[in-house]
Amino acid sequence: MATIRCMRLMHCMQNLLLLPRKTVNICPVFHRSYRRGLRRYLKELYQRRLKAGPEPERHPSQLGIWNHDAELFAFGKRFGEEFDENLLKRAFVQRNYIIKEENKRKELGIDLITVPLGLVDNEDLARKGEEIASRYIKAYLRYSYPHMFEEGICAVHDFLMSHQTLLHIGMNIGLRELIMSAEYPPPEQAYILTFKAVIGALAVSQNVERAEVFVKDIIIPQLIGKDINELWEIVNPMGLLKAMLASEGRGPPEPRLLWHSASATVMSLYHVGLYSDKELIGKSPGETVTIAEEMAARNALKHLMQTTDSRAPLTLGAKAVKIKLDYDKKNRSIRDLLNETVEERLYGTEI
Amino acid sequence: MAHNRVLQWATMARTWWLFDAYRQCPFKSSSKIAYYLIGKHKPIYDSLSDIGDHVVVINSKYISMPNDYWRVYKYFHHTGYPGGFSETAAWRLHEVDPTKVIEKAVYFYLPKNLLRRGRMRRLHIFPEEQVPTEILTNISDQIQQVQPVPKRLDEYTQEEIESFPKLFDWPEDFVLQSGFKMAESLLSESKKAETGGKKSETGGKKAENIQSGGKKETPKTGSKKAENLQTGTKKAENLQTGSKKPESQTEKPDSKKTGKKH
Repeated sequence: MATIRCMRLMHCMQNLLLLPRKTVNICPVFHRSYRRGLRRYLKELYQRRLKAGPEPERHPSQLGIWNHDAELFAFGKRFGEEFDENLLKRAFVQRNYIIKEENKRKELGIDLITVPLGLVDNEDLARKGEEIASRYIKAYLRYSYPHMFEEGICAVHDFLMSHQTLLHIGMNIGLRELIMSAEYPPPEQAYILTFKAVIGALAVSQNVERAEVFVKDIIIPQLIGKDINELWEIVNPMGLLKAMLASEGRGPPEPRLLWHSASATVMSLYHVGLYSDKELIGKSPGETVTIAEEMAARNALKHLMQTTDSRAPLTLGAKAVKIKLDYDKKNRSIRDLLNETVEERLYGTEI
Repeated sequence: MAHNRVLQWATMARTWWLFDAYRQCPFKSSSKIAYYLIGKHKPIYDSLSDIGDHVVVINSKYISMPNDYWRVYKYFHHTGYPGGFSETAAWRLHEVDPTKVIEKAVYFYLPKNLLRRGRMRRLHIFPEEQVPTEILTNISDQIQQVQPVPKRLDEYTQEEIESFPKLFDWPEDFVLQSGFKMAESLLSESKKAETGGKKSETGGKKAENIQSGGKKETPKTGSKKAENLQTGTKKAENLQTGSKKPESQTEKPDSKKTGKKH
């Protein structure tokens, strides 16, 4: 029964529901009239917003609620580290920010020699931080995978120090508002430089060991869930396997078909096993015999390098406090291996 | 990610299984075949996933129905028109298409959902042992049969039959099955004639023959008369001289065969 009174109440309720109190500054009270223009009004507001585009991203300091020193202090405390205040401040200053500030002063007619800006960019600290991180990561990987080839160690190191990984870290530890860059939000490179500079600042503020612990806690865990055998691409696994077996004085790998199914269809499956001296050294499935053989060679390499899927997890956290790394030690390289086998082939018979 | 790719390929690949239906119960076999067609033997089994395997059934012509199901078990059909109902006995259906009994049984055992037809497409039934090469090359394993294949008497050698352990000899007037007592007596008669009236009615060999011979089995010695006995009782009666067997024990061997109703 739609009496006039009932309709009026419905309109009142609609008005209440339509108007979010904070966004639209209209008093949500019962009105004497039907407010027939309300819908058109809201539509107009919506169209104007579309036309104007989204709100530009602004640094919180432009909103007047920003204490840079307090935020910097909190940043250090979030990691549980003691930073030198000035060093940490320097770690966030980008080169383009200094240039921008200098130009601003020139325009204002301030002499930079008499009144110096007193800002140093973070590139030195970043260089230092990168050096520390790189050195520690390599030593840590050699410690964790002592049987892996040096090429593999380098490949995993390159992944950890890559643009993508460092950017991911930098964007997720709260650097965004702290970075002093010419533009806001800061460019990708600024995140990476700043993150490296924070490592450098920590090393200078406390010591290198402390910075290395920081690297171990922040960068190394990016390997969790990654397959290090996939990070390092081996071009010719069967050739490498042959060379490895030869250097150990074992027989050459001999592929054998262990099992196959649906061979006459497009969904064929083959399981190939590799034998050396009548001993199974690796096996793998594959869509074709060739693929299965190659994957079996990779599987055998994994076993030889002790990087199988069932290996123990990386030593991290409290357990990693006691580990002693040898920074000078290097794993065996493929080049050494090939040289050995060539020498054996050339001179082995003579001796 | 080549490693994960091949692992996934191996996980999701469909295996081809061989099932030999020679002298197997079609219903028990079908429930087992359906298990593989659904993929219940796999650790990744899920009721709504299409992850079943292929099954190749051979020797479907030689399945063995339990009890007298060849005669009793019926397949029904209705055309939808008045009077369109018809029923077919299992033996008749098997005569028309020797793959149909097992196919229908598997179809019955599969879950009644949208995957049913697709799963049936992965069932390959062949009446004999001959399988096309393109299917045979796919097979990588076989499903165990549901019941042991019994050995027929004609598959035993004479030596095996003779060396079969016996605890006692049947008494000469003991009737094991209708008709065979008479055979024994006939044999003894023929031997009498050969040996010149000597009494040799009892004998282990004859008892053995009776034991070993099934309904259609005929002892090799004096087979002619035994055949006569089985095929036509009248002739046997004529030949019969002074046997103790009453006429009521003779039975027509034809009556045990196929049911007339279908």
